[in-house]
Amino acid sequence: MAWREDWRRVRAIAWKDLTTERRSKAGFNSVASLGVTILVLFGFALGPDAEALRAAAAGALWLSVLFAGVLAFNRSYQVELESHALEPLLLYPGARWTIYAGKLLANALFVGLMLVIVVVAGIALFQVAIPAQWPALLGVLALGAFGLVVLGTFYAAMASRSRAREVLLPLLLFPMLVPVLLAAMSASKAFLAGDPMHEAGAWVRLLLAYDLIFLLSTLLAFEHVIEA
Amino acid sequence: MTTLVHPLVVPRPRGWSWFGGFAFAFLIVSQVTGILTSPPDRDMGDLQKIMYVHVPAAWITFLCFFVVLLFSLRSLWRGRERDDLLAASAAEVGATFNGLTLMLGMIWGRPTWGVWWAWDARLTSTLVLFLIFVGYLALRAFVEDPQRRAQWSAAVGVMGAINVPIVYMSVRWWRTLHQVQSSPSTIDPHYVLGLRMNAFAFLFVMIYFIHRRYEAAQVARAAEQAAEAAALGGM
Amino acid sequence: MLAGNWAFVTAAYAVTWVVLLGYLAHVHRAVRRARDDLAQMTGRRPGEA
Repeated sequence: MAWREDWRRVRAIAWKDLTTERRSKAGFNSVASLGVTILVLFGFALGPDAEALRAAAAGALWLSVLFAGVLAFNRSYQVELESHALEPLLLYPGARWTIYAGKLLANALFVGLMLVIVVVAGIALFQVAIPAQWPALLGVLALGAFGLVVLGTFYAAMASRSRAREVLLPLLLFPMLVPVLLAAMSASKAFLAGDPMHEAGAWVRLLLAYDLIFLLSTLLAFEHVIEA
Repeated sequence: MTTLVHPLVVPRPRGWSWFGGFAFAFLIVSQVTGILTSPPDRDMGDLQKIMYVHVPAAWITFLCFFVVLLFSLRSLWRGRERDDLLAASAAEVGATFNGLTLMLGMIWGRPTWGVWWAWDARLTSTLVLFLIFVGYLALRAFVEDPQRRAQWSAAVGVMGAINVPIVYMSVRWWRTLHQVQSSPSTIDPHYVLGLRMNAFAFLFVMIYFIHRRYEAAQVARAAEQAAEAAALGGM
Repeated sequence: MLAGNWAFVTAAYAVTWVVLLGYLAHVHRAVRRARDDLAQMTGRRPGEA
């Protein structure tokens, strides 16, 4: 029974965040536009040769999502900080980790939607041919994005409440994301080429392990972080 | 707001100076021994002598990170301020040795591989570790409240420690061309004594550095508390 | 080749000593500054605490 209560709290927090986001509109639209803009800039840096573009597509796509996503993570706490709503939120009964899980869910949907837009733009701009293993590629996109969101949401809980939050979040987050980015880029690249070396499987397992390890450890650590 | 259950003890001045003198003297003796006793290596020639500084620096870097992990966990568990200050001291010393390891790796890599940077697993994961250390220290610099700083930096320290083996694995899969790990069992017996001595010398220097850094942090906290008390008393 | 190698070895040891002595100076300065602060703080309000 207890888990059902927790799940209800998680949904409530996620719904609250998504509603605020939907009503303000400006947030999502500008972050997604930024993602596409960064993608275009990568196109200028790497193109116009079609072969070079196609080879670099996976890397450019993940970096665009990362750079735009960083803005989303800080935003998810900013609204509460500006309206002094974090303390009342902590006063509600129930486990603290549900707050984190709710924000995680909202951010996952937010970044997932942005990822869809960036991927569609990337397929067009980088002249990517959709491979036969596109379902596996979708799985890689989901696992990679989830990895970004888990640590992004966790570190934003600290960075958004410190001085210099704009620089602190990427400084803390990017080194931690090296394994996810390497795995997501390599697996996407492999699947785009039809996985001729059968290497994608190992990367997918790494992504799964990373997501699981950090989901559990951030859920455990969140209580210490949010209360301080 | 800050109720201190364990007030800090201000360490007396010049407590460990003799140990610092000993550590640096031992370092000089070890380096001289290492350079004089080692014949030129079959493959690397005299470049092998860089091993006596590069390899211990790398070991000490990882040892420091382990100390950070240990005291971060203890600080989360017990909530005592001195565990937090010790973790922070070890992080700063670790970042110093980490930067040294990277520079020495590049100096070694240039003549042996022909490039300053090879993107191999160990060098690259050491660089990522350095960036994690930098993030940890930046977080501490940007957060003023001591309790908040302790909790947050402990969380960052633990997360970073969990990440290090994953980073290493991922970079190794991505690309690798490093020689087999140097440890006294896999290297030429001529070099064992020098390497061991230098490793201990670096260890002593590390202990001295952490101790002094911890002393500075303790005194600085005591000064902050005195300032707070003065401000409250003056109202 | 040999002379070139020795240049790299010398550079490695020089870098080591610069970093170690530099950190030593940094940490000594930190200790001294903290002690000065403490002396100033406790000296300014004699009789209390």
